[in-house]
Amino acid sequence: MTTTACINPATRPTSVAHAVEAHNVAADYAGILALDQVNLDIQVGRFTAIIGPNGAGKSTLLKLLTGTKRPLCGYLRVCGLPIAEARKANAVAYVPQETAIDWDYPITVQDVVLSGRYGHSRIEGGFRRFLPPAFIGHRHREIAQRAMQAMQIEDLAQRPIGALSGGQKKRVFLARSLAQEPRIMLLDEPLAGVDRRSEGIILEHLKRFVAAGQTVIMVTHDLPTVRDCADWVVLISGTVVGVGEPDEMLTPEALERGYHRGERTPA
Amino acid sequence: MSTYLPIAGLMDFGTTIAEYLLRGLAFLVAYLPAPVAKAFEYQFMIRALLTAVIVGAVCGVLSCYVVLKRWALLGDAISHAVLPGVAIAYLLGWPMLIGAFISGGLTALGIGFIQQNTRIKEDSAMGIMFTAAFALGIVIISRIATSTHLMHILFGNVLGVSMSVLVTTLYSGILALLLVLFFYKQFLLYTFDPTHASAIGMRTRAIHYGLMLLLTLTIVTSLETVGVILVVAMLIIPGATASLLTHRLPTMMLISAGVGVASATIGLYTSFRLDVASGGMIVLVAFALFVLAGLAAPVGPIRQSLRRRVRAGHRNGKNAE
Ligand SMILES: Nc1ncnc2c1ncn2[C@@H]1O[C@H](COP(=O)(O)OP(=O)(O)O)[C@@H](O)[C@H]1O
Ligand SMILES: [Mg+2]
Repeated sequence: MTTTACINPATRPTSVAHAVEAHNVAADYAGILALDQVNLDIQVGRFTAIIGPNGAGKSTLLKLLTGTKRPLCGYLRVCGLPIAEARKANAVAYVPQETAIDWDYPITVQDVVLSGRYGHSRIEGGFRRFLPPAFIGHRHREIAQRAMQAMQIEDLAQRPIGALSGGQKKRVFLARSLAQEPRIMLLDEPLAGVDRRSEGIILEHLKRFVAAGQTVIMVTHDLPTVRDCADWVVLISGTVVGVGEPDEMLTPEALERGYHRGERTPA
Repeated sequence: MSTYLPIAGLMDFGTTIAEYLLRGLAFLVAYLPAPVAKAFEYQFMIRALLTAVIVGAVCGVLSCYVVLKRWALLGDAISHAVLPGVAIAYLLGWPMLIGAFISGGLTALGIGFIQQNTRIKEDSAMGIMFTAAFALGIVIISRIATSTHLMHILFGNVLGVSMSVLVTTLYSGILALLLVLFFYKQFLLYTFDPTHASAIGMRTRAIHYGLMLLLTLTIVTSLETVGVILVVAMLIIPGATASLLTHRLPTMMLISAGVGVASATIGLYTSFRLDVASGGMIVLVAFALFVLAGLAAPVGPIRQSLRRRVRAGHRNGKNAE
Protein backbone atom coordinates (compact mmCIF):
# COMPACT_ATOMS: atom_id res chain seq x y z
CA MET A 1 0.00 0.00 0.00
CA THR A 2 1.18 3.49 -0.72
CA THR A 3 -1.00 5.23 1.80
CA THR A 4 1.84 7.23 3.30
CA ALA A 5 3.45 8.18 0.04
CA CYS A 6 2.08 11.70 0.01
CA ILE A 7 3.18 12.53 3.54
CA ASN A 8 6.54 14.10 4.09
CA PRO A 9 7.91 11.88 6.88
CA ALA A 10 10.24 14.61 8.09
CA THR A 11 7.41 16.91 9.01
CA ARG A 12 4.62 14.45 9.82
CA PRO A 13 5.51 11.14 11.32
CA THR A 14 2.33 9.12 10.94
CA SER A 15 1.49 7.21 14.02
CA VAL A 16 -0.95 4.34 13.99
CA ALA A 17 -1.41 4.94 17.71
CA HIS A 18 -3.59 7.88 16.72
CA ALA A 19 -7.20 7.32 15.78
CA VAL A 20 -7.52 10.90 14.58
CA GLU A 21 -4.86 13.43 13.65
CA ALA A 22 -5.85 16.91 12.56
CA HIS A 23 -3.46 19.77 11.95
CA ASN A 24 -4.58 23.22 10.96
CA VAL A 25 -7.84 21.92 9.55
CA ALA A 26 -10.48 24.41 8.46
CA ALA A 27 -13.95 23.81 7.03
CA ASP A 28 -16.48 26.20 5.59
CA TYR A 29 -20.03 26.35 4.28
CA ALA A 30 -20.16 28.58 1.19
CA GLY A 31 -17.24 30.67 2.41
CA ILE A 32 -18.35 30.97 6.04
CA LEU A 33 -15.92 29.17 8.33
CA ALA A 34 -17.48 26.60 10.63
CA LEU A 35 -14.14 25.28 11.92
CA ASP A 36 -10.75 26.91 11.80
CA GLN A 37 -7.22 25.95 12.90
CA VAL A 38 -8.29 22.65 14.35
CA ASN A 39 -5.36 20.80 15.88
CA LEU A 40 -6.30 17.53 17.46
CA ASP A 41 -4.75 14.16 18.16
CA ILE A 42 -6.93 11.42 19.58
CA GLN A 43 -5.21 8.23 20.64
CA VAL A 44 -6.53 4.81 19.74
CA GLY A 45 -8.61 3.27 22.52
CA ARG A 46 -10.05 6.49 23.89
CA PHE A 47 -13.67 7.02 24.79
CA THR A 48 -13.76 10.59 23.54
CA ALA A 49 -16.51 13.07 24.27
CA ILE A 50 -16.83 16.14 22.06
CA ILE A 51 -18.63 18.95 23.80
CA GLY A 52 -19.37 22.53 22.90
CA PRO A 53 -22.23 24.97 22.33
CA ASN A 54 -24.71 24.71 19.47
CA GLY A 55 -23.20 25.71 16.16
CA ALA A 56 -19.71 25.08 17.50
CA GLY A 57 -18.82 22.84 14.58
CA LYS A 58 -19.07 19.47 16.33
CA SER A 59 -21.18 17.88 13.59
CA THR A 60 -18.95 19.50 11.00
CA LEU A 61 -15.92 17.78 12.54
CA LEU A 62 -17.67 14.41 12.27
CA LYS A 63 -18.58 15.17 8.65
CA LEU A 64 -14.90 15.76 7.93
CA LEU A 65 -14.00 12.42 9.49
CA THR A 66 -16.61 10.52 7.43
CA GLY A 67 -15.50 12.24 4.24
CA THR A 68 -18.97 13.75 3.69
CA LYS A 69 -17.30 17.12 3.77
CA ARG A 70 -13.89 17.99 2.46
CA PRO A 71 -11.70 20.27 4.56
CA LEU A 72 -10.83 23.69 3.19
CA CYS A 73 -7.23 23.10 4.17
CA GLY A 74 -5.12 21.20 6.65
CA TYR A 75 -3.88 17.72 7.36
CA LEU A 76 -6.32 15.03 8.39
CA ARG A 77 -5.71 11.33 9.08
CA VAL A 78 -7.90 8.60 10.49
CA CYS A 79 -6.11 5.52 11.87
CA GLY A 80 -3.01 6.81 10.11
CA LEU A 81 -4.79 6.76 6.75
CA PRO A 82 -6.02 9.56 4.51
CA ILE A 83 -9.79 9.87 4.77
CA ALA A 84 -10.45 8.21 1.41
CA GLU A 85 -8.39 5.15 2.42
CA ALA A 86 -9.97 4.97 5.85
CA ARG A 87 -13.42 4.97 4.27
CA LYS A 88 -12.54 2.16 1.90
CA ALA A 89 -11.14 0.18 4.84
CA ASN A 90 -14.48 0.55 6.66
CA ALA A 91 -12.58 2.14 9.53
CA VAL A 92 -15.21 4.73 10.40
CA ALA A 93 -18.79 4.10 11.46
CA TYR A 94 -21.26 6.89 11.94
CA VAL A 95 -24.43 7.24 14.01
CA PRO A 96 -26.37 10.23 12.65
CA GLN A 97 -28.15 12.96 14.51
CA GLU A 98 -31.90 12.39 14.79
CA THR A 99 -32.66 15.26 12.42
CA ALA A 100 -30.39 13.91 9.68
CA ILE A 101 -32.72 11.02 8.82
CA ASP A 102 -36.02 10.93 6.93
CA TRP A 103 -38.02 8.69 9.26
CA ASP A 104 -40.71 8.08 6.62
CA TYR A 105 -38.18 6.28 4.44
CA PRO A 106 -39.50 2.83 3.42
CA ILE A 107 -36.87 0.69 5.10
CA THR A 108 -37.04 -1.85 7.89
CA VAL A 109 -34.85 -2.07 10.99
CA GLN A 110 -33.18 -5.20 9.65
CA ASP A 111 -32.30 -3.55 6.35
CA VAL A 112 -30.79 -0.54 8.11
CA VAL A 113 -28.56 -2.77 10.25
CA LEU A 114 -27.61 -4.86 7.23
CA SER A 115 -26.47 -1.68 5.47
CA GLY A 116 -23.60 -1.63 7.94
CA ARG A 117 -22.23 -4.58 5.95
CA TYR A 118 -22.46 -2.93 2.51
CA GLY A 119 -18.94 -1.56 2.76
CA HIS A 120 -17.56 -5.04 3.39
CA SER A 121 -19.66 -6.72 0.72
CA ARG A 122 -18.51 -4.10 -1.77
CA ILE A 123 -14.87 -5.09 -1.47
CA GLU A 124 -15.22 -8.86 -1.47
CA GLY A 125 -14.67 -10.95 -4.58
CA GLY A 126 -17.38 -12.56 -6.66
CA PHE A 127 -20.48 -11.35 -8.40
CA ARG A 128 -22.62 -10.85 -5.31
CA ARG A 129 -21.21 -7.44 -4.51
CA PHE A 130 -22.96 -6.02 -7.58
CA LEU A 131 -26.36 -7.35 -6.56
CA PRO A 132 -29.02 -5.85 -4.24
CA PRO A 133 -28.74 -6.62 -0.50
CA ALA A 134 -31.24 -9.47 -0.83
CA PHE A 135 -28.31 -11.45 -2.25
CA ILE A 136 -25.80 -10.42 0.40
CA GLY A 137 -23.86 -13.34 1.85
CA HIS A 138 -24.91 -15.43 4.83
CA ARG A 139 -21.92 -14.28 6.90
CA HIS A 140 -22.98 -10.64 6.58
CA ARG A 141 -26.50 -11.51 7.69
CA GLU A 142 -25.17 -13.30 10.74
CA ILE A 143 -23.03 -10.37 11.80
CA ALA A 144 -25.98 -8.01 11.37
CA GLN A 145 -28.15 -10.41 13.37
CA ARG A 146 -25.62 -10.45 16.24
CA ALA A 147 -25.50 -6.65 16.23
CA MET A 148 -29.29 -6.54 16.52
CA GLN A 149 -29.15 -8.98 19.42
CA ALA A 150 -26.54 -6.85 21.17
CA MET A 151 -28.82 -3.82 20.87
CA GLN A 152 -31.88 -5.93 21.83
CA ILE A 153 -33.83 -5.02 18.72
CA GLU A 154 -34.30 -8.48 17.14
CA ASP A 155 -38.02 -8.26 17.88
CA LEU A 156 -38.23 -5.04 15.90
CA ALA A 157 -36.39 -6.43 12.87
CA GLN A 158 -39.32 -6.16 10.45
CA ARG A 159 -40.64 -2.82 11.72
CA PRO A 160 -40.40 0.23 9.48
CA ILE A 161 -37.74 2.55 10.79
CA GLY A 162 -40.25 5.33 11.49
CA ALA A 163 -42.35 3.17 13.83
CA LEU A 164 -39.86 3.22 16.72
CA SER A 165 -39.26 5.29 19.84
CA GLY A 166 -36.32 7.69 20.01
CA GLY A 167 -34.21 5.26 22.02
CA GLN A 168 -35.00 2.34 19.71
CA LYS A 169 -34.03 4.41 16.67
CA LYS A 170 -30.64 5.18 18.18
CA ARG A 171 -30.11 1.51 18.98
CA VAL A 172 -30.83 0.60 15.37
CA PHE A 173 -28.12 2.92 14.14
CA LEU A 174 -25.73 1.74 16.81
CA ALA A 175 -26.42 -1.83 15.67
CA ARG A 176 -25.60 -0.76 12.13
CA SER A 177 -22.28 0.64 13.35
CA LEU A 178 -21.49 -2.53 15.32
CA ALA A 179 -22.26 -4.60 12.24
CA GLN A 180 -19.77 -2.53 10.32
CA GLU A 181 -16.96 -3.67 12.68
CA PRO A 182 -15.18 -0.33 12.44
CA ARG A 183 -12.10 0.94 14.25
CA ILE A 184 -13.65 4.26 15.13
CA MET A 185 -17.23 4.95 15.99
CA LEU A 186 -18.53 8.47 15.48
CA LEU A 187 -21.78 9.34 17.22
CA ASP A 188 -23.64 12.63 16.89
CA GLU A 189 -25.69 13.23 20.03
CA PRO A 190 -26.62 9.55 20.49
CA LEU A 191 -28.22 10.20 23.86
CA ALA A 192 -30.54 13.06 22.92
CA GLY A 193 -34.18 12.10 23.45
CA VAL A 194 -33.25 8.57 24.53
CA ASP A 195 -34.93 6.62 27.34
CA ARG A 196 -32.92 5.31 30.30
CA ARG A 197 -32.92 1.69 29.18
CA SER A 198 -31.67 2.51 25.68
CA GLU A 199 -29.04 4.83 27.13
CA GLY A 200 -27.80 2.01 29.35
CA ILE A 201 -27.58 -0.46 26.44
CA ILE A 202 -25.84 2.06 24.19
CA LEU A 203 -23.24 3.16 26.74
CA GLU A 204 -22.52 -0.40 27.81
CA HIS A 205 -21.68 -1.41 24.25
CA LEU A 206 -19.65 1.70 23.61
CA LYS A 207 -17.58 0.86 26.70
CA ARG A 208 -17.12 -2.70 25.45
CA PHE A 209 -16.08 -1.38 22.07
CA VAL A 210 -13.41 0.77 23.73
CA ALA A 211 -12.34 -2.09 25.99
CA ALA A 212 -11.72 -4.10 22.82
CA GLY A 213 -9.13 -1.51 21.84
CA GLN A 214 -11.24 0.63 19.49
CA THR A 215 -12.05 4.32 19.62
CA VAL A 216 -15.31 6.14 20.32
CA ILE A 217 -15.86 9.77 19.42
CA MET A 218 -19.18 10.96 20.75
CA VAL A 219 -20.76 14.40 20.46
CA THR A 220 -22.95 15.04 23.48
CA HIS A 221 -24.43 17.71 25.70
CA ASP A 222 -24.83 15.34 28.62
CA LEU A 223 -22.00 16.28 30.98
CA PRO A 224 -22.77 13.76 33.76
CA THR A 225 -22.49 10.95 31.21
CA VAL A 226 -19.23 12.40 29.98
CA ARG A 227 -17.91 12.27 33.54
CA ASP A 228 -19.05 8.66 33.94
CA CYS A 229 -18.01 7.18 30.63
CA ALA A 230 -15.49 9.27 28.73
CA ASP A 231 -11.75 9.18 29.38
CA TRP A 232 -10.96 12.06 27.01
CA VAL A 233 -12.79 15.31 26.41
CA VAL A 234 -12.51 17.71 23.49
CA LEU A 235 -14.10 21.10 23.93
CA ILE A 236 -14.98 22.77 20.63
CA SER A 237 -16.16 26.24 19.76
CA GLY A 238 -15.23 27.08 16.18
CA THR A 239 -11.88 25.49 16.91
CA VAL A 240 -10.50 23.17 19.58
CA VAL A 241 -10.71 25.21 22.77
CA GLY A 242 -9.47 22.53 25.14
CA VAL A 243 -8.46 18.88 25.28
CA GLY A 244 -7.87 16.71 28.32
CA GLU A 245 -9.04 14.24 30.89
CA PRO A 246 -12.63 14.68 32.09
CA ASP A 247 -11.36 15.85 35.48
CA GLU A 248 -9.51 18.80 34.05
CA MET A 249 -11.99 19.60 31.29
CA LEU A 250 -15.23 19.50 33.23
CA THR A 251 -14.23 22.23 35.65
CA PRO A 252 -16.31 25.41 35.59
CA GLU A 253 -13.34 27.44 34.36
CA ALA A 254 -12.60 25.12 31.42
CA LEU A 255 -16.26 24.96 30.41
CA GLU A 256 -16.50 28.72 30.68
CA ARG A 257 -13.83 29.02 28.01
CA GLY A 258 -15.85 26.97 25.55
CA TYR A 259 -19.43 27.84 26.29
CA HIS A 260 -19.23 31.54 27.03
CA ARG A 261 -17.12 32.91 24.28
CA GLY A 262 -20.21 34.81 23.25
CA GLU A 263 -21.32 34.30 19.67
CA ARG A 264 -18.82 32.02 18.05
CA THR A 265 -16.61 34.02 15.67
CA PRO A 266 -13.75 32.02 14.21
CA ALA A 267 -11.52 34.60 12.54
CA MET B 1 -31.35 3.18 -40.65
CA SER B 2 -27.90 4.37 -39.67
CA THR B 3 -24.55 4.48 -41.35
CA TYR B 4 -22.69 3.40 -38.21
CA LEU B 5 -22.32 -0.35 -38.45
CA PRO B 6 -22.27 -1.34 -34.76
CA ILE B 7 -25.31 0.82 -34.13
CA ALA B 8 -27.08 -0.64 -37.13
CA GLY B 9 -26.32 -4.13 -35.84
CA LEU B 10 -27.64 -3.26 -32.41
CA MET B 11 -30.78 -1.79 -33.92
CA ASP B 12 -31.37 -4.92 -35.99
CA PHE B 13 -30.93 -7.11 -32.94
CA GLY B 14 -33.25 -4.85 -30.95
CA THR B 15 -35.80 -4.96 -33.73
CA THR B 16 -35.82 -8.74 -33.64
CA ILE B 17 -36.37 -8.73 -29.88
CA ALA B 18 -39.04 -6.04 -30.13
CA GLU B 19 -40.85 -8.09 -32.78
CA TYR B 20 -40.92 -11.11 -30.48
CA LEU B 21 -42.20 -8.94 -27.63
CA LEU B 22 -44.87 -7.46 -29.88
CA ARG B 23 -46.00 -10.93 -30.93
CA GLY B 24 -46.10 -12.06 -27.32
CA LEU B 25 -48.06 -9.01 -26.30
CA ALA B 26 -50.54 -9.47 -29.17
CA PHE B 27 -50.99 -13.06 -28.04
CA LEU B 28 -51.78 -11.95 -24.47
CA VAL B 29 -54.06 -9.13 -25.54
CA ALA B 30 -56.16 -11.56 -27.56
CA TYR B 31 -57.33 -13.10 -24.27
CA LEU B 32 -58.73 -9.78 -23.01
CA PRO B 33 -62.48 -9.07 -23.35
CA ALA B 34 -63.48 -8.68 -26.99
CA PRO B 35 -63.86 -4.86 -27.18
CA VAL B 36 -60.40 -4.33 -25.64
CA ALA B 37 -58.80 -7.01 -27.78
CA LYS B 38 -60.34 -5.41 -30.84
CA ALA B 39 -58.73 -2.04 -30.06
CA PHE B 40 -55.32 -3.69 -29.95
CA GLU B 41 -55.72 -5.55 -33.23
CA TYR B 42 -53.94 -2.73 -35.04
CA GLN B 43 -50.19 -3.05 -35.31
CA PHE B 44 -49.68 0.60 -34.27
CA MET B 45 -51.76 0.01 -31.13
CA ILE B 46 -49.66 -2.98 -30.09
CA ARG B 47 -46.50 -0.97 -30.70
CA ALA B 48 -47.91 1.88 -28.63
CA LEU B 49 -48.86 -0.54 -25.89
CA LEU B 50 -45.40 -2.08 -25.68
CA THR B 51 -43.77 1.36 -25.60
CA ALA B 52 -46.16 2.56 -22.92
CA VAL B 53 -45.63 -0.56 -20.80
CA ILE B 54 -41.83 -0.15 -20.90
CA VAL B 55 -42.11 3.53 -20.08
CA GLY B 56 -44.61 2.88 -17.28
CA ALA B 57 -42.37 0.27 -15.67
CA VAL B 58 -39.15 2.29 -15.87
CA CYS B 59 -40.77 5.54 -14.75
CA GLY B 60 -42.44 3.66 -11.92
CA VAL B 61 -39.15 2.32 -10.57
CA LEU B 62 -37.34 5.63 -10.90
CA SER B 63 -40.22 7.60 -9.43
CA CYS B 64 -39.50 5.92 -6.09
CA TYR B 65 -36.19 7.75 -5.93
CA VAL B 66 -37.76 10.99 -7.12
CA VAL B 67 -40.35 10.83 -4.35
CA LEU B 68 -37.91 9.75 -1.62
CA LYS B 69 -35.25 12.28 -2.57
CA ARG B 70 -37.87 15.04 -3.07
CA TRP B 71 -36.67 15.56 -6.59
CA ALA B 72 -40.08 16.34 -8.11
CA LEU B 73 -38.96 19.78 -9.24
CA LEU B 74 -35.70 18.36 -10.58
CA GLY B 75 -37.65 15.87 -12.69
CA ASP B 76 -39.75 18.70 -14.06
CA ALA B 77 -36.61 20.71 -14.76
CA ILE B 78 -34.85 17.94 -16.67
CA SER B 79 -37.94 17.05 -18.66
CA HIS B 80 -38.31 20.61 -19.92
CA ALA B 81 -34.59 20.91 -20.55
CA VAL B 82 -34.57 18.12 -23.13
CA LEU B 83 -36.43 20.31 -25.61
CA PRO B 84 -33.46 22.19 -27.14
CA GLY B 85 -31.61 18.89 -27.50
CA VAL B 86 -34.54 17.42 -29.38
CA ALA B 87 -34.66 20.47 -31.64
CA ILE B 88 -30.93 20.46 -32.37
CA ALA B 89 -30.91 16.71 -32.99
CA TYR B 90 -33.73 17.29 -35.49
CA LEU B 91 -31.64 19.96 -37.22
CA LEU B 92 -28.57 17.73 -37.42
CA GLY B 93 -30.49 14.62 -38.36
CA TRP B 94 -29.40 12.78 -35.20
CA PRO B 95 -31.63 10.40 -33.28
CA MET B 96 -33.88 12.57 -31.15
CA LEU B 97 -33.14 10.63 -27.98
CA ILE B 98 -29.43 11.38 -28.12
CA GLY B 99 -29.96 15.12 -28.39
CA ALA B 100 -32.51 14.97 -25.59
CA PHE B 101 -30.14 13.06 -23.33
CA ILE B 102 -27.29 15.48 -23.92
CA SER B 103 -29.27 18.65 -23.22
CA GLY B 104 -31.13 17.10 -20.26
CA GLY B 105 -27.89 15.82 -18.80
CA LEU B 106 -26.09 19.14 -19.29
CA THR B 107 -28.91 20.95 -17.53
CA ALA B 108 -28.86 18.48 -14.63
CA LEU B 109 -25.11 19.00 -14.25
CA GLY B 110 -25.56 22.77 -14.59
CA ILE B 111 -28.10 22.80 -11.77
CA GLY B 112 -25.71 20.89 -9.53
CA PHE B 113 -22.91 23.28 -10.47
CA ILE B 114 -24.88 26.44 -9.69
CA GLN B 115 -26.06 24.97 -6.44
CA GLN B 116 -22.59 24.00 -5.26
CA ASN B 117 -20.73 27.08 -6.43
CA THR B 118 -23.08 29.99 -5.85
CA ARG B 119 -25.44 31.07 -3.10
CA ILE B 120 -28.48 30.49 -5.33
CA LYS B 121 -30.82 27.97 -3.70
CA GLU B 122 -31.60 24.66 -5.35
CA ASP B 123 -35.16 25.48 -6.45
CA SER B 124 -34.14 28.76 -8.01
CA ALA B 125 -31.19 27.09 -9.75
CA MET B 126 -33.61 24.60 -11.27
CA GLY B 127 -36.09 27.29 -12.23
CA ILE B 128 -33.40 29.30 -13.98
CA MET B 129 -31.83 26.42 -15.86
CA PHE B 130 -34.97 24.71 -17.05
CA THR B 131 -36.88 27.76 -18.17
CA ALA B 132 -33.81 28.98 -20.05
CA ALA B 133 -33.32 25.60 -21.74
CA PHE B 134 -37.03 25.30 -22.52
CA ALA B 135 -37.07 28.81 -23.99
CA LEU B 136 -34.09 27.94 -26.18
CA GLY B 137 -35.93 24.84 -27.36
CA ILE B 138 -39.07 26.80 -28.20
CA VAL B 139 -37.06 29.40 -30.10
CA ILE B 140 -35.25 26.79 -32.20
CA ILE B 141 -38.36 24.77 -32.89
CA SER B 142 -40.39 27.83 -33.86
CA ARG B 143 -37.83 28.38 -36.59
CA ILE B 144 -37.42 24.88 -37.95
CA ALA B 145 -40.46 22.74 -37.49
CA THR B 146 -44.14 22.63 -38.07
CA SER B 147 -46.40 23.10 -35.11
CA THR B 148 -47.57 19.46 -35.21
CA HIS B 149 -43.98 18.44 -34.62
CA LEU B 150 -43.80 20.73 -31.60
CA MET B 151 -47.09 19.34 -30.33
CA HIS B 152 -45.74 15.80 -30.57
CA ILE B 153 -42.69 16.65 -28.54
CA LEU B 154 -44.65 18.57 -25.94
CA PHE B 155 -47.54 16.16 -25.54
CA GLY B 156 -46.22 12.87 -26.82
CA ASN B 157 -47.27 10.82 -29.81
CA VAL B 158 -47.39 7.26 -28.63
CA LEU B 159 -49.78 6.14 -31.38
CA GLY B 160 -47.23 7.22 -33.98
CA VAL B 161 -44.26 5.40 -32.41
CA SER B 162 -42.01 3.96 -35.09
CA MET B 163 -40.13 0.68 -34.82
CA SER B 164 -36.80 2.45 -34.35
CA VAL B 165 -38.16 4.58 -31.51
CA LEU B 166 -39.62 1.47 -29.90
CA VAL B 167 -36.23 -0.24 -30.09
CA THR B 168 -34.42 2.73 -28.57
CA THR B 169 -37.03 2.88 -25.82
CA LEU B 170 -36.53 -0.81 -25.17
CA TYR B 171 -32.77 -0.46 -24.92
CA SER B 172 -32.79 2.60 -22.67
CA GLY B 173 -35.46 1.01 -20.49
CA ILE B 174 -33.40 -2.16 -20.04
CA LEU B 175 -30.28 -0.08 -19.36
CA ALA B 176 -32.08 2.02 -16.73
CA LEU B 177 -33.43 -1.06 -14.92
CA LEU B 178 -30.02 -2.78 -14.98
CA LEU B 179 -28.40 0.33 -13.50
CA VAL B 180 -31.00 0.41 -10.72
CA LEU B 181 -30.30 -3.26 -10.02
CA PHE B 182 -26.50 -2.99 -9.94
CA PHE B 183 -26.40 0.28 -7.99
CA TYR B 184 -29.28 -0.59 -5.70
CA LYS B 185 -27.16 -0.38 -2.55
CA GLN B 186 -25.61 2.91 -3.61
CA PHE B 187 -28.92 4.56 -4.46
CA LEU B 188 -30.55 3.19 -1.31
CA LEU B 189 -27.89 4.60 1.00
CA TYR B 190 -27.56 7.81 -0.96
CA THR B 191 -31.26 8.53 -0.60
CA PHE B 192 -31.55 7.24 2.97
CA ASP B 193 -28.34 8.23 4.78
CA PRO B 194 -25.68 9.80 2.54
CA THR B 195 -23.28 10.30 5.45
CA HIS B 196 -23.17 6.57 6.08
CA ALA B 197 -22.75 5.97 2.35
CA SER B 198 -19.77 8.29 2.39
CA ALA B 199 -18.33 6.78 5.59
CA ILE B 200 -18.18 3.31 4.05
CA GLY B 201 -16.37 4.57 1.00
CA MET B 202 -19.14 5.19 -1.53
CA ARG B 203 -18.60 8.19 -3.77
CA THR B 204 -21.71 10.18 -2.99
CA ARG B 205 -21.08 12.93 -5.49
CA ALA B 206 -20.70 10.41 -8.31
CA ILE B 207 -23.88 8.68 -7.11
CA HIS B 208 -25.66 12.04 -7.07
CA TYR B 209 -24.82 12.85 -10.66
CA GLY B 210 -25.31 9.24 -11.71
CA LEU B 211 -28.85 9.27 -10.34
CA MET B 212 -29.51 12.57 -12.11
CA LEU B 213 -28.32 11.13 -15.42
CA LEU B 214 -30.38 8.00 -14.85
CA LEU B 215 -33.38 10.23 -14.33
CA THR B 216 -32.56 12.02 -17.56
CA LEU B 217 -32.34 8.70 -19.38
CA THR B 218 -35.77 7.75 -18.07
CA ILE B 219 -37.30 11.05 -19.06
CA VAL B 220 -35.82 10.81 -22.53
CA THR B 221 -37.20 7.29 -22.83
CA SER B 222 -40.69 8.51 -21.96
CA LEU B 223 -40.70 11.47 -24.28
CA GLU B 224 -42.59 9.82 -27.14
CA THR B 225 -45.23 8.40 -24.85
CA VAL B 226 -46.36 11.18 -22.58
CA GLY B 227 -44.40 14.16 -23.85
CA VAL B 228 -42.17 16.73 -22.22
CA ILE B 229 -44.85 18.40 -20.14
CA LEU B 230 -46.50 15.37 -18.59
CA VAL B 231 -43.52 13.05 -18.12
CA VAL B 232 -42.86 14.42 -14.66
CA ALA B 233 -46.29 13.14 -13.61
CA MET B 234 -45.12 9.60 -14.42
CA LEU B 235 -42.04 10.26 -12.28
CA ILE B 236 -44.03 11.35 -9.24
CA ILE B 237 -47.48 9.77 -9.15
CA PRO B 238 -46.52 6.05 -9.26
CA GLY B 239 -43.90 6.46 -6.52
CA ALA B 240 -46.20 8.58 -4.38
CA THR B 241 -49.00 6.02 -4.83
CA ALA B 242 -46.71 3.15 -3.83
CA SER B 243 -45.37 5.03 -0.81
CA LEU B 244 -48.91 5.10 0.58
CA LEU B 245 -49.10 1.32 0.55
CA THR B 246 -45.79 -0.11 1.80
CA HIS B 247 -42.82 0.33 4.11
CA ARG B 248 -40.20 -1.45 2.04
CA LEU B 249 -38.33 -0.04 -0.91
CA PRO B 250 -38.33 -3.20 -3.10
CA THR B 251 -42.10 -3.57 -2.62
CA MET B 252 -42.52 0.12 -3.28
CA MET B 253 -40.65 -0.26 -6.56
CA LEU B 254 -42.82 -3.19 -7.62
CA ILE B 255 -46.08 -1.43 -6.78
CA SER B 256 -44.85 1.73 -8.41
CA ALA B 257 -43.87 -0.08 -11.61
CA GLY B 258 -47.29 -1.78 -11.50
CA VAL B 259 -49.03 1.57 -11.24
CA GLY B 260 -46.94 2.85 -14.15
CA VAL B 261 -47.76 -0.14 -16.35
CA ALA B 262 -51.44 -0.16 -15.39
CA SER B 263 -51.92 3.53 -16.09
CA ALA B 264 -50.06 3.23 -19.39
CA THR B 265 -52.22 0.31 -20.50
CA ILE B 266 -55.57 1.58 -19.28
CA GLY B 267 -54.80 5.14 -20.35
CA LEU B 268 -53.83 4.05 -23.83
CA TYR B 269 -56.98 2.01 -24.29
CA THR B 270 -59.25 4.73 -22.94
CA SER B 271 -57.66 7.40 -25.07
CA PHE B 272 -58.20 5.19 -28.12
CA ARG B 273 -61.85 4.62 -27.29
CA LEU B 274 -62.58 8.24 -26.44
CA ASP B 275 -60.31 9.61 -29.17
CA VAL B 276 -58.43 11.90 -26.80
CA ALA B 277 -54.71 12.60 -26.15
CA SER B 278 -52.98 9.42 -24.91
CA GLY B 279 -50.36 11.18 -22.79
CA GLY B 280 -52.99 13.12 -20.90
CA MET B 281 -55.19 10.06 -20.45
CA ILE B 282 -52.30 7.97 -19.09
CA VAL B 283 -51.54 10.60 -16.47
CA LEU B 284 -55.22 10.90 -15.54
CA VAL B 285 -55.43 7.14 -14.96
CA ALA B 286 -52.28 7.32 -12.81
CA PHE B 287 -53.90 10.09 -10.81
CA ALA B 288 -57.07 8.05 -10.36
CA LEU B 289 -54.97 5.15 -9.04
CA PHE B 290 -53.27 7.55 -6.65
CA VAL B 291 -56.62 8.74 -5.29
CA LEU B 292 -57.78 5.13 -4.90
CA ALA B 293 -54.60 4.22 -3.03
CA GLY B 294 -54.95 7.29 -0.82
CA LEU B 295 -58.48 6.25 0.12
CA ALA B 296 -57.61 2.59 0.66
CA ALA B 297 -54.19 3.01 2.32
CA PRO B 298 -53.68 1.69 5.88
CA VAL B 299 -53.98 5.24 7.22
CA GLY B 300 -56.56 6.30 4.60
CA PRO B 301 -60.13 7.25 5.48
CA ILE B 302 -61.77 3.95 4.43
CA ARG B 303 -59.71 1.67 6.64
CA GLN B 304 -59.70 4.22 9.46
CA SER B 305 -63.46 4.33 9.56
CA LEU B 306 -63.62 0.52 9.29
CA ARG B 307 -61.28 0.24 12.27
CA ARG B 308 -63.37 2.75 14.18
CA ARG B 309 -66.52 0.83 13.43
CA VAL B 310 -64.95 -2.46 14.52
CA ARG B 311 -63.83 -0.80 17.76
CA ALA B 312 -67.28 0.69 18.33
CA GLY B 313 -68.78 -2.72 17.66
CA HIS B 314 -66.58 -4.26 20.37
CA ARG B 315 -67.57 -1.59 22.85
CA ASN B 316 -71.28 -1.94 22.08
CA GLY B 317 -70.97 -5.67 22.46
CA LYS B 318 -69.41 -5.20 25.88
CA ASN B 319 -72.10 -2.76 26.94
CA ALA B 320 -74.80 -5.21 25.97
CA GLU B 321 -73.37 -7.90 28.23
N1 LIG C 1 -25.34 22.61 5.63
C1 LIG C 1 -24.92 23.78 6.16
N2 LIG C 1 -24.94 24.91 5.40
C2 LIG C 1 -24.51 26.09 5.91
N3 LIG C 1 -24.05 26.25 7.15
C3 LIG C 1 -24.02 25.18 7.95
C4 LIG C 1 -24.44 23.89 7.51
N4 LIG C 1 -24.28 23.01 8.51
C5 LIG C 1 -23.78 23.72 9.54
N5 LIG C 1 -23.61 25.02 9.21
C6 LIG C 1 -23.06 26.07 10.09
O1 LIG C 1 -21.79 25.65 10.54
C7 LIG C 1 -21.64 25.92 11.91
C8 LIG C 1 -21.33 24.64 12.67
O2 LIG C 1 -22.44 23.76 12.59
P1 LIG C 1 -22.47 22.33 13.23
O3 LIG C 1 -21.20 21.63 12.94
O4 LIG C 1 -23.73 21.66 12.80
O5 LIG C 1 -22.57 22.69 14.79
P2 LIG C 1 -22.87 21.75 16.05
O6 LIG C 1 -23.06 20.36 15.58
O7 LIG C 1 -21.70 21.93 16.93
O8 LIG C 1 -24.11 22.29 16.69
C9 LIG C 1 -22.93 26.58 12.37
O9 LIG C 1 -22.70 27.99 12.40
C10 LIG C 1 -23.92 26.22 11.32
O10 LIG C 1 -24.85 27.27 11.14
MG1 LIG D 1 -24.69 19.07 15.61
